[in-house]
Amino acid sequence: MKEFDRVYNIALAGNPNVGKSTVFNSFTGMHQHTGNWPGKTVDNTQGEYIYNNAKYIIQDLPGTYSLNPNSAEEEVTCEYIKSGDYDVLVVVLDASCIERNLRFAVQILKAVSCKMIICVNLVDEAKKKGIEIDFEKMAELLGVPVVAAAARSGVGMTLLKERIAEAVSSEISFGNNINSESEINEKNIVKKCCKFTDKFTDKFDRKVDKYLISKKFGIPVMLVILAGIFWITIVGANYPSELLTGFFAYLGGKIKLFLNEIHCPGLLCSALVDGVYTTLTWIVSVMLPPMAIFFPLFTLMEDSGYLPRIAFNLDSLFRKANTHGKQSLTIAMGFGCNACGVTGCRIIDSPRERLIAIITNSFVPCNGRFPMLIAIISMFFVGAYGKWSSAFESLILLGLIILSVSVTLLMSKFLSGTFLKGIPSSFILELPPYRRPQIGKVIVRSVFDRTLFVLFRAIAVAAPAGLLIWVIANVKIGGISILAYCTEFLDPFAKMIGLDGAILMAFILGFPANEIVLPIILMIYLSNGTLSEIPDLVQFREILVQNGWTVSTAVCTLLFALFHFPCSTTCITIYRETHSRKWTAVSFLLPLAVGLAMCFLVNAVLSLI
Amino acid sequence: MTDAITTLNEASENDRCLICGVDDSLPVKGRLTELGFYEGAVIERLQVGSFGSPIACRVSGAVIAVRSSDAGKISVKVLR
Repeated sequence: MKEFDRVYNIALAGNPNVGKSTVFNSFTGMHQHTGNWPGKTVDNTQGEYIYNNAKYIIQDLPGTYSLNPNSAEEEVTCEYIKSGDYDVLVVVLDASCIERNLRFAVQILKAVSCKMIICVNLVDEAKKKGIEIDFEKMAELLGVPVVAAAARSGVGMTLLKERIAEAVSSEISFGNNINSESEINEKNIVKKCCKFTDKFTDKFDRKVDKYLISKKFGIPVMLVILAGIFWITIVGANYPSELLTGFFAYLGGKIKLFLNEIHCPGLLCSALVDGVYTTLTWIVSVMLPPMAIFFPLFTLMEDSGYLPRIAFNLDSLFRKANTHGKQSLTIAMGFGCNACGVTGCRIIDSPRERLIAIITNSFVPCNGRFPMLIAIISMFFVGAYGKWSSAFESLILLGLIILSVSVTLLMSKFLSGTFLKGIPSSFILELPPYRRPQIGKVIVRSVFDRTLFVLFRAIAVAAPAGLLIWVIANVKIGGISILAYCTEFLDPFAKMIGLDGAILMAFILGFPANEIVLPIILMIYLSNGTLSEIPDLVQFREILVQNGWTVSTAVCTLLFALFHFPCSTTCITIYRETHSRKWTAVSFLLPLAVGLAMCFLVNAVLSLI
Repeated sequence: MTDAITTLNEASENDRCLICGVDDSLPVKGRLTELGFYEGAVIERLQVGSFGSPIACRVSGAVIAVRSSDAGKISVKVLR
């Protein structure tokens, strides 16, 4: 480790969605997630970079519109900016929306005496919109260095580093031109240094918005887009899934042979292969392909700027549920991961509405649950539809998603009518310009950061869980395995809600990670049976049917997969966000109660038919 | 009609509006000001969402959506 005698603190501040995280990533080489919507960064992130033998510690602050905080989180950011607890403050501005951004910069200059550098980002976008900026003039008027940048393509980043280096070493103070009585404001700066060559144009965005957020077509188009994403995921995942299953089955056989060859004790061999190996490979072959397709698609949507438009389309529904329109953004994040969705609820300012959004977040299925839903749907509901089956499958999945969002809305309304009474707060949403997603980057990042992360987490849980199941399935008391005791104990209760002991047991054991529920069900059934090969979906269906699965079981399992307790990571996150055991318990019990009630009713109705 | 003062939710699509005032009872008045909804600013009312809310407006170069109930507390003069 090299020691640096000079260490400087840099802070990145600015309005939401101006590209602070992109600058941050470009400096540090880190991969802080970026997305084209205001509120993407809710956490302070710290990173560092080396420039000219000095170390710079850089803080990526969440975006704020002004120094007058509107929420607790914003207050932390504003206090930090005001504290001057850094060597240089870099204020990132969006060139395409320069007046509003300058207002914030001027406000900081008037309120805080610190070394400040202005980075006017997105100049490429502004240019396309016909905005020309005289940066030298701006620097002169503001009395601080101004750097023009297009952080996404790396333009201006070296210059910005250089300016920061100059700023930390210089003794001169900045912002002399402006004090609190100064006449300078954003309007006269804009007048003096910006030229709007073409009458401000965002024709393309407005044209696209005519459809995507149209009064009539907004919601239908959104459903079509969602269905399309599901369809691509299902169709695209099929083949690699089969390939992987076949490969792992072949490899499993070889491993068994090899273990026999080296005279590995039969019991250990069985524990390793039938227990750990089967569970692990199942997760990889069934979970990995859909995740590796869904995550990038979702990130593309996020990158393009469509996400806030979803919030726009659905706001009326949320208003009727007495909650915040931004809840649809946290729901969308929940599709990726409920724990992320819960953290994302910080974008909601009102504490009451934020709590509702947190409690109801796990009503939407996360990525860990999607593959389970897809597998069950394809096994039990679409077998007979030939080449239309994947389209049909996506529609059923879409139906489930609509169901889960509807339940979210209903439960939100229920909460805001009972425990969390209140009127909906105002809702202001910025619709960012559409941006061409960085496709290559998105794919690489979402595969490496998200898919592999989720996969490793699943594997870390699955290996011991596989072993545990094998042990309790094989340790016998009085001729009956512990597992059989457990499942039999759960069975009568589980039957009431249309499941069976094995399924309920799998959901309980799947508390640390929902990804492992299906493989556990499989293992429990297999531990009583004779099959030892990893089955494909057709064989899997056979196994389930042999163990008493009917369409009604499948429906109830789907419903329970949608509505049960959130996974352990989500629960921990909820506690961290709410600091309340009571609300964590509510978040745990509410979806569980909904799931139990729904399964009970559906089972009762289906058994009448 | 030209000089009649109305509220933002009453304006029609693509109307350019001069903001005459924002009701003090609006809890987000401060935030709206920061975003460019202040007296004397000229904004452009764009589309409206699925069930009549929210209302998208072009404000100092950005597109901002407000709920129609909030827009009812912003009085504007439609410039024709």
